[in-house]
Amino acid sequence: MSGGLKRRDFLKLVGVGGAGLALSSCKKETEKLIPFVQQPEDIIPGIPTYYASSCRDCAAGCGLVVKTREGRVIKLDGNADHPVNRGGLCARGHGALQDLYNPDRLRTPVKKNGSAWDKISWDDAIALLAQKAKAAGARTAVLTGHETGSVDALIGEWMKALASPHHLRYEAFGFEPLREATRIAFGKAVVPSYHFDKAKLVFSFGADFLQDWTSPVKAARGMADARGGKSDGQRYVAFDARPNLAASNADEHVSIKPGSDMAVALGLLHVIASENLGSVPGGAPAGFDPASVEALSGVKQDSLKRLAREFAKTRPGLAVAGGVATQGDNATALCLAVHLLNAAVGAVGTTVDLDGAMRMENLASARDLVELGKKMAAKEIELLVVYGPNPLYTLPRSLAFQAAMQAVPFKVSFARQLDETSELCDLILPVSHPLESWDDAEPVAGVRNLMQPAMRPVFGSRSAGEVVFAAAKQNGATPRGADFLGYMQEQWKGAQSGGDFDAFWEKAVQSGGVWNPPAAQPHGFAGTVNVKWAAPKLQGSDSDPVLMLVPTAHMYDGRGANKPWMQEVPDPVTKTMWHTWAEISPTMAKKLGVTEDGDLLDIEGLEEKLNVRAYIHDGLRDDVVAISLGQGHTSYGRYAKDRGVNAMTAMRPVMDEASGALAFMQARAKVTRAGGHKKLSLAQGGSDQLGRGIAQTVTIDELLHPKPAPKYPGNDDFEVEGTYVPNYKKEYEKHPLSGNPMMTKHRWGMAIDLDRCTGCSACVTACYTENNIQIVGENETWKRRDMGWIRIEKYLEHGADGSVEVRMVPMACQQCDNAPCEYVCPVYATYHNPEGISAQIYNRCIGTRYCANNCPYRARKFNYQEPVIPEPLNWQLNPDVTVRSKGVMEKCSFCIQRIRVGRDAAKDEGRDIKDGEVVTACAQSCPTQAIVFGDQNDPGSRVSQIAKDPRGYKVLEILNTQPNIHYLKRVRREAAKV
Amino acid sequence: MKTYFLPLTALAAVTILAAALSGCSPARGSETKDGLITVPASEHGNPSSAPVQPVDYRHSIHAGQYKIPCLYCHSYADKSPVANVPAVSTCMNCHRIIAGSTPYNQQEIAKVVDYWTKGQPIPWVSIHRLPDHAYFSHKRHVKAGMQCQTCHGPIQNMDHVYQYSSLKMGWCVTCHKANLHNAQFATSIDCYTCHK
Repeated sequence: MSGGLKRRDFLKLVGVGGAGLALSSCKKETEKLIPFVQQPEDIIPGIPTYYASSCRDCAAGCGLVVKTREGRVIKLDGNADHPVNRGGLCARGHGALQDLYNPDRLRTPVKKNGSAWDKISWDDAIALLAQKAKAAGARTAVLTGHETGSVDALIGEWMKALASPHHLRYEAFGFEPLREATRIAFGKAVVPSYHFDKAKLVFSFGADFLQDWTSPVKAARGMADARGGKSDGQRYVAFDARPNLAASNADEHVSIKPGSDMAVALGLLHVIASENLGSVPGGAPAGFDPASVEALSGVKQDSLKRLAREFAKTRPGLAVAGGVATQGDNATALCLAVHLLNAAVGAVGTTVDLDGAMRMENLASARDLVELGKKMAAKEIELLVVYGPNPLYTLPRSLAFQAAMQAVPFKVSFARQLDETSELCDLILPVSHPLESWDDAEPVAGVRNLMQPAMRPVFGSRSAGEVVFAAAKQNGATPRGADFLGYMQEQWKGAQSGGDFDAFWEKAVQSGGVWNPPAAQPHGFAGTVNVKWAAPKLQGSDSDPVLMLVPTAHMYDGRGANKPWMQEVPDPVTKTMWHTWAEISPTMAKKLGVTEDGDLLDIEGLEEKLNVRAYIHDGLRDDVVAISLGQGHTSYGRYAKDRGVNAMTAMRPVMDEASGALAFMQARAKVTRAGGHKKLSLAQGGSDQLGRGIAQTVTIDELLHPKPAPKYPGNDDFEVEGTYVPNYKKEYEKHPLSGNPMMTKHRWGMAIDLDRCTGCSACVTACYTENNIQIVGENETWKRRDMGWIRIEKYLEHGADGSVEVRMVPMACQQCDNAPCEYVCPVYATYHNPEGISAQIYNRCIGTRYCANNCPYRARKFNYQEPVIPEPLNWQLNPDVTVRSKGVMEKCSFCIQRIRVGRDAAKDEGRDIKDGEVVTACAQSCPTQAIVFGDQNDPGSRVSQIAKDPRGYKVLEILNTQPNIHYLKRVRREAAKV
Repeated sequence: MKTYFLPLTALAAVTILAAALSGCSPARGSETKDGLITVPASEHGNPSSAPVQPVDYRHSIHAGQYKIPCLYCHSYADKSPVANVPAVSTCMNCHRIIAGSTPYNQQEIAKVVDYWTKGQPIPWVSIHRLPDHAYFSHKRHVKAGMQCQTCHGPIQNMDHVYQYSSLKMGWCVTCHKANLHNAQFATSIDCYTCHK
């Protein structure tokens, strides 16, 4: 200031007194700079190195780009060239990092000694395994997860050497009914690939294809590409008793009685057949005329007819069914009925792909596993090797798999950390994470993924392939190649179409595999319809609600529970964190006297009574109660253990006889208020927009004939007088940076297309990984102290007919040009940067929290505690982002560290930053590309183009905050008039 | 003098102290041959602050006497934010052949060879330390034509390296302010330039 004292000098003076005292007693701590011994060629300190790999967290097999810094993996991104995910990555995919760096990972092989574990060396452990296998011979059994690559082939060779037939691949969510139905209908026991991008109309029957069903990222991207704001975009109708994530995205959500999915599908077929709208194999299913279906499902005859006509006439169409939540003892029949729908409209070969199908044909069913259990109990198995599945967590307790395991004299687990199953084993070989090892997989026919070690093992682990290779050799098998990598290369020679193998291999490693899925061929219905169309049998009284067991996006079959991100990032459907919940409808809540989320419920109906925290789910039917799966671990590390309940072990051993799958929908439940209340962490308070127009939609009619929409929803008479010049503009005119060529070039902005967004929360997780956002734990999330910089807000719109429309909005800092947060900061820790970002300078912040109080978007998060990051989880931290400490406010920075990298690269080449060169973590991860980031000063940039879309609006514009995030309204595709 | 971004008038204390202290800010630095502002002598680090290193390595011999370019060892200073402490293998490029001319030098070089044969890194004591919340890129500064000595001092004369510049924010900003409108290498004083 003119003639005055600078603020900084003043603070210096104030500080001097205290510092003088403090300094006299402290000695500077010496830090060491440890260089390399031998300079590696591909690592430059400070510059990331990228490796191609692929995700192994579910059967989809998405391609990955692994970002490493100084030899450590710090971030996963989708591989844009991969045919499955095309650049997106779901929340669980990001979570793999916390599997890699999990603090509860085993450090060395351990051998059980009474109730204790003795450490043994790797060589001794493998020798012991081989010795036990030699002794057991044909009585060796190997149980793996979904393995389709070289490890699987190698285990095959090992088992051949041992002359053992017991080689099982099992997944708790293994889609047995879908595979069996596909076999009956088309003669191939595969899980088809579904091309959502080609469908004009999608019908789903309980399949949550956006979170846990077959290939969620592929489905989401396909759907978004088919919709994406187009007036003639795909329409999606969901038939479901519970609005799961996919159904929450439906244009039309047809609420049906739980378990009546099959009846509805057959009813549609009945209409199509009787009105001659398509060739229905087997003709109109008897007993499923619209009147009967209305009685069975509650779907009005008119609606059923309308939808059947629409499905038959809108081609290409696609119908999908199955998934855990609706898997009753008629699951195969349901999947078959839906296959008939696809066949009737000729979808097989266009939207339903049996040729480029998911390679799950070798997966065993739950019944196969139970058969193995019987052999184990009968002492026919002497050695059991488990690699992957956790049957003691996923199988009903009454199947007595635990007793069966105990009857096996020696059990070996290839586990990274102790879980329910490995706790019971005698020898544990802590195998490497896929990011630390050579591995391969073929998730989809013709799509061969290759995984390479992106870093040295965190602990001295060895890859499963290496271990099996060594053991197999000691047992007399003669796998080709000198080691597992050599063996793998031998396997890959088959994928090569001539030429030099080394060059082929190098290219495959570099790109993450070789992807040549065959083109889909049309397939006609090849079977005979010889099925008893029966509704699922449900235990319990008919007046009780049906109990649905629902998998969640983050937990999947329970494998997500050991990762703090998966616990703390709110569930996309319910916005709950860190616990199991039981969903009841508001009406049922009233009836039971449940006034608040978290009131305890007793749920009887399964073999064991469950005590669960209630979640009042607006939009759920009154005849349904749903319990989330994935929690209730009794082992599996500090983040998973003793948290919530596990409904899977409490189930009755009911099977879908046709496919041998477990029937997850098996009972009606007696729900009672247990008394007592435990807090349930929720990320969002209310679901009512209160007329603020946060999540806006537009109908097709409005899209085609745009009318001037109210700029300020709920305040139609509001007008701004004159032209408002935001504060920052006035300030920068006087500012020394004005005219500075470095700082006035760009104006960063973001566009979020709500017609693409599915609310899957991948962006939230990506932001956690990129920006070192701390995990606060359950006790803090109760107090709404979760730290996510971006969140998905979920709003409900109640129709006059009782329908509930779900609207999801990603909400991050809006980087307002006229930011209310900025001018209340007493220490200028937050200010508007000349490129349009509302910046937060952590070391300047003194934590008054005025800014957070003044932010209308709740975008600012305060560090109420020091981050707790147990070793080696801290290895994942992004070195380009400060780890914030207690007492500091933080918020979205538009990934300033990525802008910096983009600017750096541009300066090196003496050019401007190109559009698309800088991508924020949320935008990069988004499976549907709903988020676009770029420079608003560049008229040709995608964000500038999208901002001009007539669907565009800004949130809470009436507050004159002048946000830099443009939202595009979701398009409501109402029922066609057929 | 000017404060940036918003005028500061709220703190009463400032106005009280203002009169007493006005004009205290020292003139900072002088022009150097690369056109940038150097650190005033009064702010130089003290040579006696140089720590004892595990090997008595002399920049005065390598960079001074033999004129080995800085980038030979600090090979990433123009490629990465991090300048890179050379790997032991880099030392051995020369010291496979050069064993030293004096008994003392021979003894110190033998230590390097010993680290190499044992396959161990040399545990150098860190001299410069930027706080975790600050981003600094060697590359950008080297590419802008800055001499290493501008910040690191007359390194070619130093027997033992010490921290020459304060590395305080005020020190950074002095130079950044002076070059805000530099036609070729404009700087920025936006907080987000360095604060991460």
